[in-house]
Amino acid sequence: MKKGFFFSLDAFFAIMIFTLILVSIYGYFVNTQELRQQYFYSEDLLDLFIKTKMSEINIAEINNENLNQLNQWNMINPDFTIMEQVVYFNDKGYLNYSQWVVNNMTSDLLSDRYGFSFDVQGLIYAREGSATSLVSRQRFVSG
Amino acid sequence: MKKAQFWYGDFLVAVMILMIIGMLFVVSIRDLTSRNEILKDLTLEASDISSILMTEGYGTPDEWSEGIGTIGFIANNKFDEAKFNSFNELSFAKQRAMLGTYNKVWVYIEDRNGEIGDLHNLEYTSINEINTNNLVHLKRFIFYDDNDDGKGDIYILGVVVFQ
Repeated sequence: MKKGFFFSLDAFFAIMIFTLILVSIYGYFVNTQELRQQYFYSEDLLDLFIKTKMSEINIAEINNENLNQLNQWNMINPDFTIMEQVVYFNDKGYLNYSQWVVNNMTSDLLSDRYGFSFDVQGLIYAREGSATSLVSRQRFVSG
Repeated sequence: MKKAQFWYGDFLVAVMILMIIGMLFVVSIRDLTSRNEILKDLTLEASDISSILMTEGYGTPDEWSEGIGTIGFIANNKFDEAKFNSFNELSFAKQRAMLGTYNKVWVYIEDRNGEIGDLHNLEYTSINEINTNNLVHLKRFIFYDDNDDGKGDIYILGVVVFQ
């Protein structure tokens, strides 16, 4: 093997290392994750679920047949808050009804780039999203 | 000319190229960092402004027009359209003063179908109409009874801070 080959190989490795270092430094400055929006989404939804009664929701306006169906079946307690209604359905074994309520109340509010899941003593509802960052908020609830 | 002179010349060219790449890299990192700093400031402002607007505020609309009190759109855990209209009646300069910012602020209400109606300040009806590189957009969820029938829905309160 000739000397020139070793020189070329060295130069090639040097360029590779140099490029890698530049890219990683650049990536460090570019890739700054901001989680404020996710924080507000989760906090606001929890606030609304805890403070808003089912009687205050214009179910017809939300225009989703699942929630309308529950309403027609008189399954919705107008005195419950959204959170209490979800917990009530879940406790009674109607997990799918809990899912309907959460899904209907949050439908079209979050853009596709956001995933969303809702847990009360276990997973109630989840909308898949490829998670590169995650914000989790918790509250004590009763129902 | 001897072989060594060629190598020396090659070495000089290589060093020159390296220096140019290094300078370009430093300049781009500096620009990126300064832009990140601007966006960081705008994010903090948007966050603070949205949090203020999500409160009940302080003072009457008359006091707001005199620059007294704190702007807030919420009453009894719901969005209060009258408070928003009072805010909207203020001059743009006064709106910014009351929100405590030198930057431009676009506030709007959007329903779950993505429609922005009449409830917005400034003349924009879509985020795409704002032509700037330095912009931060935050969304908050509010409960809004749009026709005062005692029933409402979850809406989006959008806050856009830009330069």
